[in-house]
Amino acid sequence: MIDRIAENILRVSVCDEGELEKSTSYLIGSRKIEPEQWITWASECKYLPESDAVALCATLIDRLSMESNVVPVSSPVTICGDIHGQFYDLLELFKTGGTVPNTKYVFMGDYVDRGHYSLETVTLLFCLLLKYPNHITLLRGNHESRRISNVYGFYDECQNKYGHGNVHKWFCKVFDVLPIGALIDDSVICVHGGLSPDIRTIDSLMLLDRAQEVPNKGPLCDIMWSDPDDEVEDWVISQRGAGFVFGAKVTEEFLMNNNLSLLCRSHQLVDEGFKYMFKEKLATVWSAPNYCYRCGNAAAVFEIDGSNRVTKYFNAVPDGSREKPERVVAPYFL
Amino acid sequence: MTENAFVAPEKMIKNVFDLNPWYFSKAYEEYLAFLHRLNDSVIGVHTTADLRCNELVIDFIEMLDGLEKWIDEIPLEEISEQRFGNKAFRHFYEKLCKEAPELLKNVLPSNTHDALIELVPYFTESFGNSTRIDYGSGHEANFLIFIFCLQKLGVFNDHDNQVLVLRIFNKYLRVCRHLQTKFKMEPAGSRGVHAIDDFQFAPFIFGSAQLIGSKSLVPDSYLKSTVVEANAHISLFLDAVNFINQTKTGPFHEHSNQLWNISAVPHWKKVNSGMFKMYEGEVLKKFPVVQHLMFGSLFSFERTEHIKESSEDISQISRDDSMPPVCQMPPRAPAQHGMFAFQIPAAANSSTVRSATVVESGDLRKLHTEKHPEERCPPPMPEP
Repeated sequence: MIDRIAENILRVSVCDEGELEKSTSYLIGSRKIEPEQWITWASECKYLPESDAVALCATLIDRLSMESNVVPVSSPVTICGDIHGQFYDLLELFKTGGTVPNTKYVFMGDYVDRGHYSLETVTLLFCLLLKYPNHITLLRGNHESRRISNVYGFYDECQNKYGHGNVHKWFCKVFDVLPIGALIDDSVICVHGGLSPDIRTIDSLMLLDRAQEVPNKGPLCDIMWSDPDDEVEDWVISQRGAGFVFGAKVTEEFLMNNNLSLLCRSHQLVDEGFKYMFKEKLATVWSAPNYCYRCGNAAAVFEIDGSNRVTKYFNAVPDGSREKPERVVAPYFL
Repeated sequence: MTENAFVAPEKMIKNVFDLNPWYFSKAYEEYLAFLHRLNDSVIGVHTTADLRCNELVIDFIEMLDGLEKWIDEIPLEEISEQRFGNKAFRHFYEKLCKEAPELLKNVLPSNTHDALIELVPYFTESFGNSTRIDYGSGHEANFLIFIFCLQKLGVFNDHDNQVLVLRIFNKYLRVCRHLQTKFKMEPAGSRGVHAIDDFQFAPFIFGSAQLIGSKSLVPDSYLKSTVVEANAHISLFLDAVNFINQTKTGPFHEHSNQLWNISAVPHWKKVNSGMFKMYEGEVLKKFPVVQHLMFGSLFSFERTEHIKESSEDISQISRDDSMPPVCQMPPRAPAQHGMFAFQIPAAANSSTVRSATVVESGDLRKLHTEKHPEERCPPPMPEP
């Protein structure tokens, strides 16, 4: 069924050579945690058995709830934007950016919804986070919430693939404790959306109570929903229905107050995958090529090594012959 | 309808708690009935069927033609300056907002000119959002609401239904596709592979009605791109699939997963009725879409006087013992279970009243235990 090209696509390795041969599996109570086995499955676009998925989530919640809101990361590091369930393009991203743990990654959120493989995508990223907590950072995006993922596809996908919503519930509990920012070399701040009028300093960002569903207003919401705009000076209510549109002036103020050089975010489609704004004070990184299978856009990852910044571009993978699923008719048509 | 009570339409659905009044509004009930009338008028009718168009309709189509000419005339802005969508769309939109009252005045009979204050916003909202340069089923709904208002004003009557769908709405679709492709408009809040299409919904409703009774085409046929191409002119459904085939890349079962699934439905009648249920569940009941809807005197947010059929149905069914228990799902319940209706998760509820507060300590674990004393942190795993 699967021909050779497809097999090659499936064999993209996300980890350095030999990494998965050394087993680090251990027991928590009666539950076996097997990072290597799980990564192997996940990188073949498979999702975990329910009990393993729950064990994965529980372990991550335990660990992530000890993290601060803004995690410090030292360069060299590769920054990535929205993935939106485009699993095969995520493999392409690892091909472009390099394997873990040799390359250190910061993902800026929006792993799920819209794409065809939200569950597999978030499973792979969570498994990598389990094995390499110091080499991969996953930030929370506006889609990592119950309110949004119930509507935009992730819930449906879990419901279809597991037959019930329990695993979705567990994933959302992990989403609640994902950090909301990453600070690279004390000079570049990464968040999913942008700034908030209520947040003037990194310290105040650290003090937010993040372990909750993304609210529909307030600073925690703004961080994940706001967008920059050239034509705006300071703050304008966003038409998205949450967050703000912010301008160059407030961005520069924020960077100056916190002694930073760049605000890095994703959250908006960029045709070339990467775009500087506000005289290179703000960068938008987008990592979902040919978004929604129609936009024809390129994707990018952004490498920071000290003062050296390199953007690497990649395109959508050719179809190959991915497995054709059975047709499942939605209840509307029964 | 009271005379001379036209008002500029306003947004009424501000948060999820306004969804229920919307569901029980006159607007919801009348709009859905309007869609059903349009739908029923085109059952088994090909797009190319010979239809009599009166002058008003011809003027209307010419007006939309005029809009399409603007699209051709407006030059694109420098590509390197764009994030994604081309900002030249904003010139189109500016021109539209400026000239819309005049355009409509020229087309509509003079006794309806008082209503322009209410009509114009629906018309201008039909062509996408200029700030975000995007387009979605909400914009499409605005055009249908616009037609709905015109019908309520008596500009069109029920004899015009076929023409409204196959000529005017079809023309509107062309204009929108032209806008989408020329200015690279983003899909507005699309559900991606979980949606029927990133941009449109209604052509799938009306188009499936057109195919009811077709001898040569079954739902399964639209998986073959050659069949679709050859028959795109007979139905809005196939036309829309053809547009998808032209604009999307990748395997069909991935990028149009819903259409792929629906192709397994045995006949068009079932597809058509399903489309209606899906339109309610995925468009009319989704807060992200309907939060942008505007209400006035014609498309009214007032509560409907009719008793909802859903509550009636339940009582009827419970009285009727011959019905199997599966049928007890009311056809139009405000919040059905699961993926197909708007659901307010408990956590979202609490967050609407409690915004993120600044706390003194960053110890989340402690906070979590305080907040959920019944829950160990991390929450206990269910036993396998």
